[in-house]
Amino acid sequence: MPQSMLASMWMPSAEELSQLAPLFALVATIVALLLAAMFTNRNRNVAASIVTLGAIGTGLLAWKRLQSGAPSWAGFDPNGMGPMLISDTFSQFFIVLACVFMLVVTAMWWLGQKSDLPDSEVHRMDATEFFVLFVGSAFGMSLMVSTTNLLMIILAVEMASLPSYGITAFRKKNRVAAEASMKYVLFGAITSAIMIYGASLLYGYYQTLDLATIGMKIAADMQAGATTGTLFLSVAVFAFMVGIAFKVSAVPFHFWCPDVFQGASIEVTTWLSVASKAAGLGLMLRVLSVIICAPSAFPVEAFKYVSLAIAIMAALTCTVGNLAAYRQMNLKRLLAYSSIAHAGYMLMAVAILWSPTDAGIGAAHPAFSAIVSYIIVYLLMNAGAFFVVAMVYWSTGSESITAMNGLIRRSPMLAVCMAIILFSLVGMPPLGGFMAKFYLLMAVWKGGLYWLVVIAVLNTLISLYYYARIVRAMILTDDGLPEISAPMSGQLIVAMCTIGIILTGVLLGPMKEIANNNASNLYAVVKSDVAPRTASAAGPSAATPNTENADTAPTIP
Amino acid sequence: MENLKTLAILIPILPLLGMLLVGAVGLRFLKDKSHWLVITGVGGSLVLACLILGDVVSRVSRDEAASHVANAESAVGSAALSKSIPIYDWFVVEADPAHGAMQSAGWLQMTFRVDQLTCVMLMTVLAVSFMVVLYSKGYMRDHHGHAERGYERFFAFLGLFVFSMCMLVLAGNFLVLYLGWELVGLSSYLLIGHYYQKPEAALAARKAFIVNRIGDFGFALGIWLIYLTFRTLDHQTVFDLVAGVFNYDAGHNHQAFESLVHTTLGAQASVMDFKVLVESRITWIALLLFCGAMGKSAQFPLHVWLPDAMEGPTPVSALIHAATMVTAGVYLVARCSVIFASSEIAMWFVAAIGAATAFFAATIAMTQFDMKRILAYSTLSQLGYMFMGLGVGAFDSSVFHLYTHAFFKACLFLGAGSVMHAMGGVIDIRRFSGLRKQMPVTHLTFLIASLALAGFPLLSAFWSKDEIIHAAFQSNVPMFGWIGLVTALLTAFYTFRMVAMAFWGPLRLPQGVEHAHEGGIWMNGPLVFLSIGAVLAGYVGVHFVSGGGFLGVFQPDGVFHEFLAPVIASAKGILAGHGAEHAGAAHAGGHGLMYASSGIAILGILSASYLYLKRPTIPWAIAAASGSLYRLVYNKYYVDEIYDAVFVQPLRRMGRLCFAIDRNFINAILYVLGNIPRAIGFGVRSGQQGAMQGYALGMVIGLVALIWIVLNGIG
Amino acid sequence: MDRPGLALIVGLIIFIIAGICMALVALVIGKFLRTSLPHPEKDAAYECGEPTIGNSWVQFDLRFYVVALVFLIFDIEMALFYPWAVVYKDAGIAGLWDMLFFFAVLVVGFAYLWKFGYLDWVRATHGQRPSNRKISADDAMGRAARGWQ
Repeated sequence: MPQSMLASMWMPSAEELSQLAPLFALVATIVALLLAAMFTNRNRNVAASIVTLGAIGTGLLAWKRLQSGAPSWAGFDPNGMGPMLISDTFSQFFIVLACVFMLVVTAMWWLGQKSDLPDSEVHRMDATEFFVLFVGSAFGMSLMVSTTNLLMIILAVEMASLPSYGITAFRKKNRVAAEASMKYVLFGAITSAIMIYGASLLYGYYQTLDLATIGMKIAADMQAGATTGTLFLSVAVFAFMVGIAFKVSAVPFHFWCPDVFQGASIEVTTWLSVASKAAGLGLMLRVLSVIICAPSAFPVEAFKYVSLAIAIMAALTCTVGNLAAYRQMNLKRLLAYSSIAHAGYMLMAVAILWSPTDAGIGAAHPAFSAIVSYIIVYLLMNAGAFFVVAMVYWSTGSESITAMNGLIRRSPMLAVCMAIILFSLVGMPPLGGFMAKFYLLMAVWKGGLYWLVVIAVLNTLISLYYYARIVRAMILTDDGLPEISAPMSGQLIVAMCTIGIILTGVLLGPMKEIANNNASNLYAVVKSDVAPRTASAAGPSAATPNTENADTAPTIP
Repeated sequence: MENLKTLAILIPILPLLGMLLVGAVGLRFLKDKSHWLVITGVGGSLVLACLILGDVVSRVSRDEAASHVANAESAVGSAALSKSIPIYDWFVVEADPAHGAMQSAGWLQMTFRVDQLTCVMLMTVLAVSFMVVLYSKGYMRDHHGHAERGYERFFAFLGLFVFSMCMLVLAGNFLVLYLGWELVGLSSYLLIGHYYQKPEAALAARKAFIVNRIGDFGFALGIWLIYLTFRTLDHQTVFDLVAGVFNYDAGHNHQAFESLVHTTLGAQASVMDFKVLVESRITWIALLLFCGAMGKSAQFPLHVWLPDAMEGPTPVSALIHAATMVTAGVYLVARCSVIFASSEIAMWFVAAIGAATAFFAATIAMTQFDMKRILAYSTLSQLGYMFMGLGVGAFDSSVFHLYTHAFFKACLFLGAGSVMHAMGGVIDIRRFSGLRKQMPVTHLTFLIASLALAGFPLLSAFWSKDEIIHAAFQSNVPMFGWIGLVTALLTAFYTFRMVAMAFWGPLRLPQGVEHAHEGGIWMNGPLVFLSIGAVLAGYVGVHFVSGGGFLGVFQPDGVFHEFLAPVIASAKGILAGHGAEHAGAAHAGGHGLMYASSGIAILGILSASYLYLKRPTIPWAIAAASGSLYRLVYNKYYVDEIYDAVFVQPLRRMGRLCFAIDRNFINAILYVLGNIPRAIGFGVRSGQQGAMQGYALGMVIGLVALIWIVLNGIG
Repeated sequence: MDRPGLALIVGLIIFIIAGICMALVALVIGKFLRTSLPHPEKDAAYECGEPTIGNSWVQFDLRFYVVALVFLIFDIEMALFYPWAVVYKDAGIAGLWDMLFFFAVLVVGFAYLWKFGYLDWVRATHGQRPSNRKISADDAMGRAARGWQ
C-alpha cells in the first residue's frame, strides 16, 4: 500500500479546524441553503437570511484571526508535499473583505426584489439557486487566496468561475445576459485551458505541485548557472498567470468583462467587479511572491523582463479601460470599463513587485501595501457607485446614463454621494481614491517605472472626462424625470460608503498607518510562505520536497 | 497646550457637525426648525472661542508676571502660543521601507495655531456669525413666518462657512490655510448662488468663484514657492527663517538661526546660500501671496466679483462679503507680516493697491442706488484702507480696523436686509424714503453704524481708520495719507447720502408695499447687538490719559495693540531695520490728524444730509453737468466690460475650439479604437460570432507578445 | 539565434507549417491513390448507422442536460468510492469521516434534486410552483426556460 495514499486520509485537529473555520463556514452556508430550501419550500427570505448569517459568521471567524495583530501562518500539508491549503493573515484578510462584500450584495438583492422590474421576478423565484451559486463563487475566491498548490489554485479558480457563469445568466429571459454568460464561459474555458497547460508544464518539469518549492528550485537552478529552460519557464509561468489575469480582467484578457457586467443583473455585476478582481489580485500577489521573489536569489535572471511585461500589461489595461469608457452610455458597461482601468492601476504596483532593479526591490513593500489599501478603497467606491446605479435602475428600469439626469433634484442624497464617489474614482483629493492612487503611484515612482506613472496620470485625466459626464448628467441636465424612490437602507449603505471614502481621504495619514501596519503583516506572511522551507531547499539538488509538519501551525513573529 | 488643542479642534468641528446634522436629519425631520442645529453649533464655537481667548490672555498675563520675577519655568505660557499645534499627519510617507514604519511628510500636517491674532479673528468671526445666524432665522422667512425654499440648505451652508472660516483662521501651516481658503471660497459660491433659479445669482456665484480662482492660483504658486525655498509650510518655521535672514546683518542670535536652517533644510545646507536665495525670492513670495489676498478681499483689479455677490441673501452679504471672509486677505497679510515686511516692493504694492481700491470704490459708491451695492463698494473701500494700513506697516491698526469694521458693516448690511425684507425685495433707494418712523429700530441701528462708518468721532471706526491714516502719513509715501483723508470724506458723504435717501425725508414706499414693518426680535436683536458693538468695539484700541490726548482723554494704542504686539513684533523689527520712516508707525501723537478727520467726517455727513434732504436737485445737476465722467464712475469704470472684451470673449472662443476638437477629432479616434476588436473579428467571421473569435485571437496574440517581452524586453 | 524568443517564434512557425503540410500531404496523396465513385448515400453525415431525421440544430430539452450533469456528478462519486473502498481498512477512522463528509455534501445535493423533481423524467405538475410568467413563443431563452420547468 503506497504510503502517500494513506497520508491523504487526513483527520484535522481541533486547532486546524479552527484555522480552516472560515472555509468550512462557507461550505456550511451552501449546505444550509440547500437544506433550508427543502424544508421551507424555497423561501427566498430564509435563503437571504442564511447567506447574511453565513457571511457575518465567516467574516467574524476570519476577523478573529486578524485581530491578534501579529502575522500568523498555518499550512495544511497532509501528505508532506507542500501545503494544500494555507490559512494565514493574508487569506483571512481577503476572506473578511469577501464577506463584507457578500453582505453588500445580499443587501442589494434584498432591496432589489421589491422593484417591479422583470429582473426582480428572478429574484423572487430562484433565490436558493442564486445564493448557492453566489456563495459558491465566494467560496472559490476564498480558496484562491488560501493556497500555493498548483492543483488547488486551478480548482479554486474553477470553483470561483463556474458559479459566476451561472449567476451571470440569471436574468433568464434576457438575451444580453445569455450572450454574456456564453462569452464568459467560452473565454473562461480558453483561459482555464491555457492556465492548466502552464501548470502542467511546471509540474512536469519540477515534479511538484507546491509553488514555493518550484520557486526555490528555479532559484537554485539559476544559482547553479543554468541558462537553458528560460524560454520554457517563461511560457509555463505566463501561461499559468493567464488564468489569473483573466480574473483580474487585464488586457488582453478583459474581453468578457464589459459584456458580462452589462448582461448580468446588477448584484452580480457588483459582486464580480470587486470580488473577482480582489481575489485575482490576491492570488497573483501570492503566486508571484512565492515563485519570483524566492528569497535566496532575487532577482531571478529568467524573470528579468517580467516586470516590464506586467508594466506594459498594466499600462494597456488602464488605457484601454479608460478609452473604452469614454463614449459609453450604459452605466454598468461604463463602470465595467472603469473597473478594468482600476485593475490596470493596481497591476502597475504589481509590476513593481516583480521588478529586478534595486529601486524596484526597495519599493516592493510600499507597492504591496498600496495594492492592499487600493483594494479596500476600491471596494468602498464600487459598492457605493453600483448601489446608486442599482437604485436608479430599480426605479427607472434604465441602465443608461440618461437615467441619471437631474438626480440632484430627484434624490439629492444619492446625487451628492454619487458625485463624491465618482470624484474619488477619479482620484481627487481629499477623497479616499486619491490616497489610494497617490500611494500606489508613489510606490511605482519609487520603483523606478517613471513612464508608468506618466501613463497613469494621463489616464486619470481621461477618466475625469467620463466620470464627470455622469456628474454633469446628475446635476446639469434635467429633463423632468420623476423622483427616485430609493429605499432608506440603500441610501444608508451609500452614505456609509461615501463617509468611508471621505474619511480615508481626510484622515489620510492615520488611515495609511493602519493600512500599512496590516499590510506589513500580510507582506511578512506572504514572504514567509517560502521562508520556513528555505533552509532545506537551498541547493540545486533539493529534489526532495520539504515536509514541514503543518500540525504545528508555525506562527511567524 | 492640551487645553488649547482640544478647544482648537472643537471650534471648527461644532459648526461642521451642525451642517452635517442639517443634512442628515434637518432636511427630513426638522425642516424649518433646522436653524437650531446651526445656531447651537456656532454658539458653542463662540463660547469655546471665549474660552480660548481667556486661556491666551491668562498665559500672556502669567508671562508678564513671570518676566518680573524672571521665572523661566512659568514663562512657557505665551511661548507656546507661537508654536503650531499638530493635530494629525494628513500625509505620511514610508521612512523605512523594510519595516514599513511611517513618517510624517512634514509639510503635509494638519496643524493649528492659536495665538493672539487667531483669538481676535475667531472672536470677530464667531460673534458676527452668531448674530447673522440668529438674524437669518427671521430673514429667511416670509411675513407669515413660513420658511423660504432652501431654508435648510441655507443653514447647512452657513455652518459650512463658519467651519471653513475657523479652519482658515486656526491654520498653523500654509496647507491648512489654503484648505480653509478654498473652503470659504466654496461656501461663498454656494451661498451667493442660494437663489440659483435667478440667473443673476447663478452668474454672480460663478463670477465670484472664477475671479477667486485667479487670485488663488497666485496664492497656490506662492505656497509652492515657499515650499521650494524653505522646505516647510509651517507658519512659525517660515516666519522664523525669514526673520533670521533679514535680521542676520543686524547681527544677533546667529546661532539659533543657523541651527534652525540646518534642522529645516538638512545639515548640509549652506546658511549663506539660503540667505541669498531667500532674499532673491521673498518679494515674489509676498506678491504671490498677495494675489490670493487680492482675490479673496476683492482688491482692484480682482474686485469685480464682490458687488455682484450681493445677489446672495442679505445675511450672507453681511457675514461673508462684508464682515468675515473678505477680510481673509487682510488676515493673510497680517499673519505673514514678517514675509511682507521683508520686501519693500511688496509693502509698497500692498499699500498702493489698497489706496487705489479705497479711493475708486468710494467714488463708485457715491453714484450707486442699490443699497447693498453701495455697501459692497463701501466694503471694498474699507478693505482698501486695511491694505493701505498693512502696506505702510501698521499691521495692528489694520487688524483693529478689520475688527471694528466687522461690527458696523455687518450691522449696516443686516439693516439693509431688514429694509429689503420690509420693502418686499426692493433695495433701490430711489424707490422709497422716510422709513425712519415705520422702522425705528432699523433706522436707529443703521444710523449708528453709518456714523461709525463715516468716521464720526468716538465711534469704533474713528479710532481704527484714523490710526491707518496716521500711519500712512508717517510712511515714506505721505500721498497715501492724503488719499486716506479724501476717501474718508467720500465715505462720510456716500454713507449719509444713502441714509438720507432711504430713511429721512417724506415717507415713500414702493408699489405693492402698504406698510413697512420691522422684522421681529430675531432680526432686531442682532441689529441692536451689532450697533452696540459699532459704538463700543473701538474702545479696546484706545487708552485713557489724563490730558494731552484727543479731547484731552483718549490716546490711541490700547490693550488691543498691546495684545497683538507679540505677533507682529518681528515684522516691526525688520521694518525698523529697513529704515526709520516705517518705525514711525507707532501710534503716539497725531492728535491734530484726529481733529482733522473728525472735521472731515462731520463735513461729509452734513453736506450729504443737506444736499439730499434740502436741495436734492443739486446732486442731479452735478451728475448731469459732469456728463461722461459721471457715466464712467456710474458704470464702475467699465472694468467688467473691459474684462469681458479682453479675457472672457477670447477664452470663450478657445473653449469652443476645444469643444470642436473633442467632438470631431478625439471622438473619431475613440470610435476607431473602440471598434478594433470588432474589426479584427470581421476578418474572421461577421457579426457577434466574429467578435468572439476576434477576442480570442486578441488574447492569443497578447499572450505571445507578453512572452516575447518577458524573454527579450522591448529592445 | 541568441535570443530564446526568436527561437520560440521560429520553432512555432516551423511547427505550424509542418502541421499543415502533414495534413495536406496526406490529403493530396490520398487524392492521387484513391478511386472516386461518388454516391449520395456516401456523402451523407455518419450518424452511427442510423438515417438522419431533419436538422441537428434543434433545441434540445434542458432535461437532457440536467440528467447529464447529475449523472456526471454521481459517476465521479462512484469513481472516488472505489479506491477508498480498496484502502478502507488501512485508512482507518479518519478515512471513514473524510468520506462521510464528502458523501454527506453530495447527499444534500441529491436530496435537493429529488425534492424538486429534477429526477423525474415526466415532471409532476403538483410539485411545481405556480407559474404565471408569460413567455413569448419566439424567444429562444423563453423556450429554454419553459423546457427546463
